[in-house]
Amino acid sequence: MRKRPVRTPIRSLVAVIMLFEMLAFLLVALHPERQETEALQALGLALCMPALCWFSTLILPKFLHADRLLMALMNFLCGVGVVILFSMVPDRGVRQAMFYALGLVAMAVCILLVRHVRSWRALCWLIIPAGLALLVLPLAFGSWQNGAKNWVSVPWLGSFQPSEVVKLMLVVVLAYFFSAHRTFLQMMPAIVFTGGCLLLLMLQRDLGTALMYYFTALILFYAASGNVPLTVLAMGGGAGAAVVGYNMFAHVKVRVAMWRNPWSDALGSGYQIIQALLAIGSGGLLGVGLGLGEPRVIPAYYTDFVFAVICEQFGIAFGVCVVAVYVLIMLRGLSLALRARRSFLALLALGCAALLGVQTFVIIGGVIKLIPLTGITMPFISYGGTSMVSCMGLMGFLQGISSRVREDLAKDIEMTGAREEAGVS
Amino acid sequence: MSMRYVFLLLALAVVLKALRWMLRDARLRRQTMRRLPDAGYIGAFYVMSGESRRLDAGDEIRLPCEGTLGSARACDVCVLHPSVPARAAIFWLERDGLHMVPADPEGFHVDGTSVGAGEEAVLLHGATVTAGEVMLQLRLFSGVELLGALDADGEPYVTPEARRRASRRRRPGRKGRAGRHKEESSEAPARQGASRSPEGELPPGTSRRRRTDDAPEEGPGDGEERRPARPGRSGKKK
Repeated sequence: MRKRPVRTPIRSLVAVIMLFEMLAFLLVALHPERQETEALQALGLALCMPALCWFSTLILPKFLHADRLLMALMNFLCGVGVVILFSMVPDRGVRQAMFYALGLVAMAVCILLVRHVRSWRALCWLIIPAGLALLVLPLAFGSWQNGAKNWVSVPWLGSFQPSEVVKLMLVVVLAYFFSAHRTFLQMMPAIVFTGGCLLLLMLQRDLGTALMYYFTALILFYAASGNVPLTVLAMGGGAGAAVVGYNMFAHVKVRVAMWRNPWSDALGSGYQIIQALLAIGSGGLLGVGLGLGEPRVIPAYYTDFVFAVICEQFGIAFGVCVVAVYVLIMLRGLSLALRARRSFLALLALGCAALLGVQTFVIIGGVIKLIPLTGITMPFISYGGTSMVSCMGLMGFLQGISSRVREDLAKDIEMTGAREEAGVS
Repeated sequence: MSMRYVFLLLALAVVLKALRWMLRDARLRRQTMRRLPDAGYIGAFYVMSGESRRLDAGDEIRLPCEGTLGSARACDVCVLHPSVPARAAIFWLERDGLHMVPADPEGFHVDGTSVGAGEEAVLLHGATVTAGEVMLQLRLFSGVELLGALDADGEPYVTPEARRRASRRRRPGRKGRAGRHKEESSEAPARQGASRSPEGELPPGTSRRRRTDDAPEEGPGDGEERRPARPGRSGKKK
């Protein structure tokens, strides 16, 4: 009797995501205050975004051997991001859709890198000076924006945030040196690189990104070495650096004070956090409706505070679903880390999952006043080309590892079959 | 306004379908792994001697292609014996054999030869490792062909360049243990299985796995042909 093949729920999942995107853009296009060109753009996106979702989830994995579940979840988050941005600022929504397409290319490159590069040593030694040079760029040529100097303007191309690109480099370097050399001295290149990155980020006053780098490095160090005393020492060092940062930078003091009591300066420093909380509260459980509400009163509503806008327009229940999707991505990354046969791949998967997890926790925690607010983007949703490309690059690493894990399993099945045929126990 | 409910339902559907998919994947993986007990392992260490409350002679400890050996539970090869250091050695598979560097060189021997700090031993099929009072014998699974086994995944801890640099640092004219073993090893076949232990040495209750060499299975008398592993191939690294 022929064995019935196991059906995956991929088609129904993709159909649900495509339906969500199509309905959301149609609703935005039919908004009575929408201009004709914007309505046409929305109709175009109502066709393009589901098509991109279908292509990247059902077609692209056939060639790149990618994990379809990860791809589907990422597409859902990107779809939510483009919809919410388009409903507020149509131009930014269209640009975000372009960044999403560009991010798919970056993801394909990262998948191919993981699948085909077998020796990362030379690449890592190239990455270390390149990463440090990239982080020096904003200090040399950047300008202060929102209390940080972390953007660089490139003629004809626009501006980009080097720390987002270095994020990918950091996770590769950490995974390589922590897996390939396990004594503390042999881990030093990665530790020095991380220290250099943190120092440069402190000079840029980009403390949110520094926090993200620090926690990722700490998680990977503990996972690789299992050395509790050194990990505790590193945690103590981080706590010490936080205290020094608190005393050195005035804006950190303000952020902490506003976290403790934003109403003490409701029209000044506490304005943005209060507006975000009011937006979440006014949205209620089911939201006020897509394109409605008053998102523009929140400062940085399309970058740092986009989660507040999602909760206002779609409701807190929808916000919880978005958080659940992030958690599922993390769990999938951790599962890949556990199944990877090589420690480099395992640490790379863990690093990518940790980086995405820490980034999501820091920004959502900041918006809902769980922790002091730090200015970083929400992965896949916030407006920003560099952020989108780097997050999709991380996803590309996870996809590449997933395909390597499947290859290894296929080899095991083949070997076991050969052994059974040979009659060996 | 009713579209709010539709969007929420769609988001819930995405989460539930993804969760169902992940659970189904985990169940399928468990079923597959039950059929593939050796998946992810390249062989096993058999306990030859050194029984303890939680370790008996003949016990099999699975061997992944890289990791740490020691008595700590976090080690990839966990040898539960009080005399074994928490982290006794680091190992990884390369084309020429299983490379092993002692993390705690005291009482660490490969085929009866002590391996010093920073020295690298290359173990072939049948080689014995002594850590503390425990003696282990390496058995590589069939199908793990060392020549070309790592063509796809080779990412050695110590690269050939580092090894060359380390050997250049050694004083010329003085041939230490590393040099002597290198001479011995030059005659050793490159494929695993050339170094064999006699059948009589197999611990009771263990199954003999088929080796990957082309030579047929040999009888109990082939113990004399056993070649030693090659400790100190790279010499001191520092």
